[in-house]
Amino acid sequence: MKDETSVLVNIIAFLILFVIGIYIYSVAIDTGAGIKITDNITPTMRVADKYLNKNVLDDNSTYQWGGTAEDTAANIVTSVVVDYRLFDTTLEVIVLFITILGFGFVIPKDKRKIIKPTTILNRWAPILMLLMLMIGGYTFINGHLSPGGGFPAGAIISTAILTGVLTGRRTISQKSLKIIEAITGISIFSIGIISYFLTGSFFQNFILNDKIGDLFSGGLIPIFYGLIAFKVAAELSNIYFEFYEE
Amino acid sequence: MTQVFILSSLSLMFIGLYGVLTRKNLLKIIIALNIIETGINLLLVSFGYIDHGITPILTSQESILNLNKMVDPVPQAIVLTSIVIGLGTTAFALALAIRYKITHNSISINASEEEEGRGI
Amino acid sequence: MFLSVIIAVIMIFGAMWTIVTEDLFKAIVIFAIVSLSSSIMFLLMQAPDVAITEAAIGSGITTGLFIFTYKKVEEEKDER
Repeated sequence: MKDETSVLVNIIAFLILFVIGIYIYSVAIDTGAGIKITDNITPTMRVADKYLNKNVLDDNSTYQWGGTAEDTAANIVTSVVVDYRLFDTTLEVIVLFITILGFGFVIPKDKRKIIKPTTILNRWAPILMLLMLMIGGYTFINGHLSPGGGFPAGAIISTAILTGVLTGRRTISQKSLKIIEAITGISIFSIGIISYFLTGSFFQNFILNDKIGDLFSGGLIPIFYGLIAFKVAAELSNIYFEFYEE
Repeated sequence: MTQVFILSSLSLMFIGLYGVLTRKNLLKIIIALNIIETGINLLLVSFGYIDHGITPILTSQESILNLNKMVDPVPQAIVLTSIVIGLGTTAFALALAIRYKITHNSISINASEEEEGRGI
Repeated sequence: MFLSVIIAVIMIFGAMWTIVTEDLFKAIVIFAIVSLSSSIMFLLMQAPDVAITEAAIGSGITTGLFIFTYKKVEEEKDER
């Protein structure tokens, strides 16, 4: 489709954005008397120092490789996402749920004929789906040791269901997807309530005395990441089913 | 190094803003919004970068001794959730675009104004 | 240093091409390239978690959704 905009509008928009861009770039780089972004800021000047040294609860704690610490995840991004700032993550999952709900209301339900897949795709689809499920499971089980985690794992698991939808296989019904979503959402909050009764604050890690670097470490972090992975996978799979409504 | 990251992400943001302001096709506008989102994510992560920093993942005793050389993990954690929200809002916007196509039988943003009798 | 400059140039030219091109399908595919090179940029910024998420979600599933919508929107026009 052609965009028939006049040249004048384009030039004016380009000039305005050019001026604003130069201004913001110079503010971000050069001016100001305080701390600049391009200065060599060490994490001791930032809030991340507490997270990196794992002394949020106890000020003077130090730790060793293979020893115990406040929360024993080796991946510090994971420990920020799932332990120190878990409220952000749970509310974000709720925001995703609401947008998918709105998507389901807005999208028109029309009949759509599915083109039959070729023989090669039809034969290879189960193997591909198994591989996707395996990679997704690996990603969230090792989320506290290596890069990865619940969100990409959910996306990878949902691509397995996408393969099933594209080849016309009945993998899972939309009703059971909603049940999975509800169960995972409820269990995240019920684990939070259990930890409130055990430790006195919401979402606090109550499985302690693990070793940093082990597969079974991190306390509640792999459990939460598994729940988040299945919730995200169920929500994303809903989108594909809505697009291919029969 | 940080200047390269900041400059590239800011120019990505402004290219996307130019697209939102001047294009007439709805899907093109949604793509431009996604470009802005990518630029802002890059900008947030680049604020936490320090020169010759290392990844915030503990691998051995040496990485525990080098804790003050690690890049900031907090912007990374925020961007991790922001990408997923971006997917949700993009899906919602695409559903609205399909609705628009069905009611106006066109995907140009001029279509709704032409129906009401006022052109641009 | 060199690699980051090359990736930044690819990203910026890809974004410009996405905005300027008239073909909608071409715009979607080039946006996928922009998203994928931004995930390499995240890797250069020492953020592998974000890089994996961007590669899976921003470059994979978003492109898929755009292509689904493109097929729904344009299917009356060109009947192949």
